[in-house]
Amino acid sequence: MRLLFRLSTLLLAVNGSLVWADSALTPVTSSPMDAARPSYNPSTFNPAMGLVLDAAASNTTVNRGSLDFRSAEMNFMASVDPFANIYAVINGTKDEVSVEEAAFMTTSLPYNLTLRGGRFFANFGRLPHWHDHELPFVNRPTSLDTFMGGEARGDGLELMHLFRTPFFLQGTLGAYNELGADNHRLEETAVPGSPGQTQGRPWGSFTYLGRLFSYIPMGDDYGVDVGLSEAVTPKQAYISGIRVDNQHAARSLSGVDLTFRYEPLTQNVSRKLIWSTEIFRNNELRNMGTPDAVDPSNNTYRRQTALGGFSYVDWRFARRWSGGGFGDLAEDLDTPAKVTRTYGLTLNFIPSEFQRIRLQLSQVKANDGTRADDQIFLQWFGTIGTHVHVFKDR
Amino acid sequence: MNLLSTIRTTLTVLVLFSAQAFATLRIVATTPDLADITRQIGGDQVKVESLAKGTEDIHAVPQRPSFLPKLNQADAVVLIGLEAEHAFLPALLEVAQNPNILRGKPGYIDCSEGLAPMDVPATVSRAEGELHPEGNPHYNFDPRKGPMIADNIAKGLSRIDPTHAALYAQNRDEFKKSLAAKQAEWKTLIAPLQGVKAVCHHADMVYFANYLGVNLVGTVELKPGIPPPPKHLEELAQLMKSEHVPLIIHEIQYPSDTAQWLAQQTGAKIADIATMGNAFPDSKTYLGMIDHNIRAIVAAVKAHG
Repeated sequence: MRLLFRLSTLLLAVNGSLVWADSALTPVTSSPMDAARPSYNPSTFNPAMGLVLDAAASNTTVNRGSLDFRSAEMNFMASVDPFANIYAVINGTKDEVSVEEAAFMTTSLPYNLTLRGGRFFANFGRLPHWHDHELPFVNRPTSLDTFMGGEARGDGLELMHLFRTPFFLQGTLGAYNELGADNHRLEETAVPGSPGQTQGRPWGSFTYLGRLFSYIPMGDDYGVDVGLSEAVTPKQAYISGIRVDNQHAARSLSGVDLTFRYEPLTQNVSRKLIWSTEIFRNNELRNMGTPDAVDPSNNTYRRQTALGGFSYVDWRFARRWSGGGFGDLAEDLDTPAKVTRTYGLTLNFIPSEFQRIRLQLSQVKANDGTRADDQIFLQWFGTIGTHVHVFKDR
Repeated sequence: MNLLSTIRTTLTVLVLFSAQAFATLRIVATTPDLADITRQIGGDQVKVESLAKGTEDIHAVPQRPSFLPKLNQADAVVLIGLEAEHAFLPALLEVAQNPNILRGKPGYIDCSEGLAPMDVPATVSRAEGELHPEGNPHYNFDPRKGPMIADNIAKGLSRIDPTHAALYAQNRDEFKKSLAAKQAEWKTLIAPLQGVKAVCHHADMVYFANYLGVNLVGTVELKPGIPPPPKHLEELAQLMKSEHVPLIIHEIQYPSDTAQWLAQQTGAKIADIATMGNAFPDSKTYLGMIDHNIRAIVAAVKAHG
């Protein structure tokens, strides 16, 4: 960790010297009119703020009827200084208020580098780093919840590089305590009183990410995004809450994402098609029985490989309307033969860029003998305050 | 010796070639019309690419990843400004990793500098639609703003390449002369448009209508950026009938069916106009864009009688 800290300090120092050199070239203007300008307002440097509200009405076979406040998400962003920005996303649900993201991001590192640090949604895949309300369906796909553990949230550092190639190619390297907002595999190293907490996290128990992302233009109206992601934890210290001293307790989560886009040059505000598919592969040592912390010899471990993924289409057929369908398959991480299947149709009414009403009909079929869940949702989403279009959420 | 001589000559040619290549400024403009003006002012010293092709809605140009290598390697970006490019440019600049073209840096050439904007909202609220807090950004359709655009581009190019400032100033003056000659021609053309009433799709015609002397009485959109509900269209048709509006200005990036419905309801004539250079075969340049738009509007008004 100290090494990473030193590295980031060094990069910031290099960056700083370059920016200072630049600033000498920036023209400085002043005029007699300066004196007539409004006096300094202390709120001038306050961050840009926004709030996103997500609510839904639902009727499902399993949970019956429900009117849900799903979340209210506040976001903040401002420049720290000429070298970095800070942004934060605070999310409140009916159960808790949590910091979803709070990170710094450099703005002018040399060599086409950007460094991000703190808590943020890691650059794994496409939808894993989207906030829930931005998803093209009401609920996060089962495959994402199973393989990633919710959003791709991580506490750590991430270095992105835009390659100087004639075509778009972006690379990412990251290191995190863990990956996945609801993934608690590695938090187990910090159970109070546990050796993990007192001894700190060994280097092998961090999760390391690599990603390559590119775009293939196909004429003026079509294009394909292609991404490859790999997240590796070299040695999981705990599995299902039981400390393991197995040198082969590595976990690998791989992902491929493909997104086909039809964005016509003319009238693209009322015609657009997105067809996106992501496939995940999880390979890790799993505890195949009931975890036994008292007698570790009672635990049986087996390396399992599971696959999952989803595909969806969203067709903007009018300025206010879009619709589509999705399918999701998720193998059970312990027993890959058990597959949860989800299918659905969506219809979106979009009164403006800042509001959306979604009707979703979906069915979840778990291959474990449980009854299929037939679902109907009516979701409302609205945003106020600052509004920015972010490249990674395109 | 022959081999050594060949290698030396090849290296010399390569060095000279690459020196020439590096001497050319790489400029990215957001629209084809701005790219055209930049080419005219920069001459041989610049290589200009446009992000938009010409038929897009400037507020909805997709954030194509293929734009990023261009922005990353650009010496400057030329833009309309006043948040016209909010849908794509800020997000792309954030990830293009080129600090020289960020806002406030020498390579950020905002063509709206020095503009006295119209439609500056007294209060900024989304209840009024997708407002531009700094004012209406669609000044580039008004040829009277052409000299200001040229001044800003020449100033920006000189800022990043002071050695050729005199050339840029000379080319800028040549561009202004061409524009002035066309304006004299257009003055006669637009004379019959004084006081003519019109509607347009988006609130993007205020500067152009002001130049033409056309009186805008409404927009197809309910508010800027907000698609029209049926009731609004019925009210707009009623208004057009009661005000005897002869002209529907149809910006080609928007669907034509609403304009056609209004034309059927009211008898008004439609003028298909460009909001960027290169939108029509005869509007590849900045002057071509304005020329096309003026002639389309004059023809529509004349057809109405």
